[in-house]
Amino acid sequence: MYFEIVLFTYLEYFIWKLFVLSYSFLFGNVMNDAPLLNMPEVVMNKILELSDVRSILNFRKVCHSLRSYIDNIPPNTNCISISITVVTKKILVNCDFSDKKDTVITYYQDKKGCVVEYESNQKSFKNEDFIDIFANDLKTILHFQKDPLQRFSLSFKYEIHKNQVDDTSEIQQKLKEMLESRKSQLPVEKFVMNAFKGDQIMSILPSLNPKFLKEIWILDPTFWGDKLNSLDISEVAELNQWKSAKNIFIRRSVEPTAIPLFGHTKTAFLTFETITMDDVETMETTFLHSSTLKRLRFKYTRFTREQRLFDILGASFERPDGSEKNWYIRITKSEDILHVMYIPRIQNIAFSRIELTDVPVGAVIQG
Amino acid sequence: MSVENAPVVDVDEAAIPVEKKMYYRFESNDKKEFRVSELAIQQSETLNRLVEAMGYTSEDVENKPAIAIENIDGKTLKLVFQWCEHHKGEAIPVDDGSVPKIVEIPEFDAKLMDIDNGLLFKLIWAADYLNIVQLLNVSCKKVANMAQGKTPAQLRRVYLLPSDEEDEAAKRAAQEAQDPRAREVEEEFEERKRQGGNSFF
Repeated sequence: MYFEIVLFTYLEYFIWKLFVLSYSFLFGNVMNDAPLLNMPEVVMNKILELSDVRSILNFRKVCHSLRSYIDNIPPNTNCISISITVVTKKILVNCDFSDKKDTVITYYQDKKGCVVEYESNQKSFKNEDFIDIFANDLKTILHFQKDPLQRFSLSFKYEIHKNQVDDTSEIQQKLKEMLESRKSQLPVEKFVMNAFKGDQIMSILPSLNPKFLKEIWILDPTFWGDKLNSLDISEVAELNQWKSAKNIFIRRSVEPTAIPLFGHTKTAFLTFETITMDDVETMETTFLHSSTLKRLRFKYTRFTREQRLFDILGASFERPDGSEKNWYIRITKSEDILHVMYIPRIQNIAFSRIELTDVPVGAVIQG
Repeated sequence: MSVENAPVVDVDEAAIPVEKKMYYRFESNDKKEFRVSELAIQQSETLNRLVEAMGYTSEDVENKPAIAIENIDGKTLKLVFQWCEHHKGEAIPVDDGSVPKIVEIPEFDAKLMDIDNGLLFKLIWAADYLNIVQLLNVSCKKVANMAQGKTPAQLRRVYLLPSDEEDEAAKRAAQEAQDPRAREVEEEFEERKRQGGNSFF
């Protein structure tokens, strides 16, 4: 009796399996003779997820059936990082994967249209604009993304010989439109961008999901960090993405008035052209009033009347090589110690909240 | 072709006298018969469950008709069972529907899959049907590798895929086949439009 029941169950299993396969044949894409299009969904997914990202982009361009399949059931490409580099009339997209080798796709314009290079392969798209092809491909790559990207980076290369910045506004605009056309904000943990102006940041940052964003890095597009006006971050700092970021690193000079905009972070790095002792005091106040800040560090080019810092803080604890000065100050109503570090060689001053046990032997604790 | 006259393909004949294990008999849809060890069958979740449910004795295996696998031809089934015999006893990946992050194709598998694309797709279909997880992984990886560095036009040739136009035509033909009245309705609509009628009804 048991044998018959078990046998019947497995006969049912076979019938079900036959039904599923027949269904796939009848209502899938069986009207085509292509065996790939007749594969069950589980097989198609496996093939696509084991394919590299460029192959998937090319599969999408083969026919409607594959395109709609890939768009409806996007394969997870396990991409962990995407870096976009814009050089003169050329865009490079670098994708890093957790399980495959990195992929670099290059887009540029020639006389006939757009050229896409991938490894040693080159494909031309006649009468197509390279920015459009890039934006469409990137949209598809991001559509595949199921987990948050660990890093999303955008870099505009500075052509030093021209001593001027290339016009990247069209690329910036297309990127903005593409990101805004997504159904949901892009989940990214770390956003890195070099920016000449605040509106470049504003073209990308609002499209990232604040829920996942932990770090924001704004870098300097020039090698030496000169000849650029201060970056206005007042609009950027209004964004939820800014407010939810725990770590913010700004390597572009900002105005000292921006200091309080970092009070919500855990660690922050700022860059200034010129600071005064008043700014350093604002920094200290922001640091001590923040319930989250553990470390606040800044770099400056000029420190007006620097001597006042030493006059106020008094004798310092120095490293034997004299490379840095340290002060340790007891924080009111707290067990923690404020550690002020001054590194003249790299023009850095840092405020850190440390434990009493971390104060080096021989150092004086003030307050 | 009767079962008695069917060619018997011993996939691992040399192992029969050494191992006192059961060798099941399977028959493809083109009446090719195969003897496959109990251990090799374990690689296929579907077949393993089936033979467990049947509870055959050694005599049953010899006396009862070979187990028919109606959906798979002999050429494909031979590859499937060769793979199962080679990998018998190996750990079977858990089939939780996820795709493994890294799939290496062993040398034996690479040689086994050095076949034309039509047969490769039949092998994939059979691996899925018979729930042979690792064979499905390596065969899908092979298909994925074949796409590397190919342009859309090259992909069309390699995978016999249709162009957008062919794809559309095939869809239209399928729709029309499903509803023979569709074309008539469409033609009537066109006629009415030509006659200047604004409304179909």
